[in-house]
Amino acid sequence: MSETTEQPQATEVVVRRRRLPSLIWIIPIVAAVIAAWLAVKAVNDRGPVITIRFDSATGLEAGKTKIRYRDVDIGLVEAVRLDEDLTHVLVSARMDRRAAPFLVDDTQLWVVRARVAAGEVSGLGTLFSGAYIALAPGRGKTPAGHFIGLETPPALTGDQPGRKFILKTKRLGSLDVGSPVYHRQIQVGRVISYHLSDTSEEIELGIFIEAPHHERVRTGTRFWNADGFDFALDANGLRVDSESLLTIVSGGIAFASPDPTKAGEIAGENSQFILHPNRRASMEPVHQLKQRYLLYFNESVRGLAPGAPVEFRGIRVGQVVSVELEFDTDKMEFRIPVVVEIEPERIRLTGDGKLYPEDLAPKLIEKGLTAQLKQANLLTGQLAIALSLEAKGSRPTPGKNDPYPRIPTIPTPFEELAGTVTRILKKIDDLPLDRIASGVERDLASLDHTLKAATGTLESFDSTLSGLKELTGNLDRELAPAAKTAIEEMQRTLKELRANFGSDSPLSSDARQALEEFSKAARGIRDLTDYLERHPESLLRGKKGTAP
Amino acid sequence: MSPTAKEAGLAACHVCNRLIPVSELAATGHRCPRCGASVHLRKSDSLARCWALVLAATIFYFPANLLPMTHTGFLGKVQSDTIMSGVLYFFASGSWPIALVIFIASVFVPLLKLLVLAYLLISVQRRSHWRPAERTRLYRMTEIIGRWSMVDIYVVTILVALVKLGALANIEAGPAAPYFALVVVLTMFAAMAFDPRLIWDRMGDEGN
Repeated sequence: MSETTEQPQATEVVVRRRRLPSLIWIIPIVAAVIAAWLAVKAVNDRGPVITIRFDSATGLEAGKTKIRYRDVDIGLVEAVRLDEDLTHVLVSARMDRRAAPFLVDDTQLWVVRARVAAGEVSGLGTLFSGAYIALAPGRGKTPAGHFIGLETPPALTGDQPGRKFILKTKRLGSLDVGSPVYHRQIQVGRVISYHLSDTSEEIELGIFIEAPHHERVRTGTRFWNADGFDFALDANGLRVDSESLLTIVSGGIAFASPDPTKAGEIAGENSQFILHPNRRASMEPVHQLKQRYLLYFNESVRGLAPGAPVEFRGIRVGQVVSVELEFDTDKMEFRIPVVVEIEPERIRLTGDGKLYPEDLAPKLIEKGLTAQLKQANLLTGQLAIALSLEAKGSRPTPGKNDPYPRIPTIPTPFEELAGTVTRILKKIDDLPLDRIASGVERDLASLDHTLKAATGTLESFDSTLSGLKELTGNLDRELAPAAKTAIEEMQRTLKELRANFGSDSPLSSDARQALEEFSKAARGIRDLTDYLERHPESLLRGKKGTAP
Repeated sequence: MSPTAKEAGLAACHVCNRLIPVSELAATGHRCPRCGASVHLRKSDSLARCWALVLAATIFYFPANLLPMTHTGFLGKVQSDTIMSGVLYFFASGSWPIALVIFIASVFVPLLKLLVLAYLLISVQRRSHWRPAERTRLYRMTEIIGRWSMVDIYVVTILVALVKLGALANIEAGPAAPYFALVVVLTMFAAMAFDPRLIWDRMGDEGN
């Protein structure tokens, strides 16, 4: 309380001791309440501290780097330090209290930096603002405080609607995580993962198709690798196929249903598909039944490669699987085992239906089916295998170590292989060259005749020209004097005209005077109209100056 | 020790400094007969008011320094700075004179004022006889430099008004700004509420 109240001499001063403290104390009380509220709010808003492990701390700064979800700040990096064995960086971050529900065991965190990849430029904003840590909430339920940060942005974040599928392929090509998936040249998804299969030598690609396009993936849908150009040189000529310019550079996958009416049901999550090497391959009907047979050739198979067609009367029924070279040390001779794959389902069976497709080939072999090498492409020298029932071959004796049943082969005569060339040569040979030569000689003689006749024609033309020259001479002599007088007459007339209408001629000065009069009159009219415009009343009252 | 006006039975008008006999005060209704201002022997309730304001200012001193003073947005990167982080930033970037000015004007002076006022209040209440002239000088200094702390607020307001370049650069005042302004204003009021004559009154106690 006030000290100024006890004054020994100032007895006159009325001293009022207030029972209540001064109202001024409201100010510190209010201050204390505000400060307490701030403190409580600060403590309440402090969310959990999480640690994230990264390989490196490029662009991360303690106290500055934010943690963001959908570009909303939900945390701040508080410290960046190395872990004990110096292999990683531990980033601890203070999260917002509202972010706590996102921090579950499968939440993904990664550093967003500017990334420039073929077909994708992202995070350009971070060039100026610095890197930040992005968060993708997981779907798990277990809360977590420690996370392992991703080095690259995840191709798939948990909250996107769509569906995952698995594609199996033998070669990855230029596909990578993030490669686009196209449907009718529209991007509808992307590759999210790839890894070698645990069970086979294939690569399993995980792809994600965004909603609502995921319903376009049916059980009958075919996927193919759309990377680069697809060159195809066949009987129809050269064909170039490409999905888009982007896929040429960075690869991609496309899918379609070969027959929309038989597309099947909507494929479920994680359905497996085969990734075909190109569009053409993907559109071929798939035959489940494949039977392998072994063929031994003793002649050169140059031009026969895996994938070469196996034909029956020119229609494809299968393909070559492998071509190898074998040396039999007992017989000291080479032979070439060729494994072919026959798809009996390519042959439509008619009849009473007692024969199933799988029994067809053995039955045919019994009936004397033989295989023979055949020229498939004259230009490239590619070989195919032709099956036939016509040529009789010896029944094969099954070898002990044959992995597949055998189809007997019959050697291809060399003439047949080279036959085409021979035939062409023969045709050239057969050309009647001497007769052609004599014909040419005859033609030349007749040409000579023609030329001689032309010379005569030219001579007569020459005489015609000299006649024409004479005619013009005559014209010159007779017509020229008359024309001269006519011209002189014209000149006189023109001179008179000029005298009449010249600048100082009477006619012209009269005209000029008339024109000057006319222009004066025009000026008078203009003055009048001007005056009338200004004083329209003068029409009724007359001119003002002259009015009385 | 020379006698004080109060001992002589006189009260000075705070405004025109006219001396009025205390006995006449009741007749004039505690008003100065010359200028009409309210006249007290000493500023009324001085210590209690001063204490209350110093306490309030001390409480606000914490949010003023702990909360961010400015939100600086530069090319999409928003940075929040407290007063101290700004000082450290300038110090780290080599502009230590600026850092020093900010530190003295915004951190040191308000704190010094609070400490000085608290010391003066305590010394008066404990009837200290220690160096009254120096303490009075301390009080005057406090009163004079107090207003300079407001520089910080002015700088922030000017920056906020000037730097409005949209996404390129943008400065916004942080939540600390009003608290800091309150600290400065409250300490100024506290200094005004304090009556330095109380320092000398205690000397009189001893003298008599």
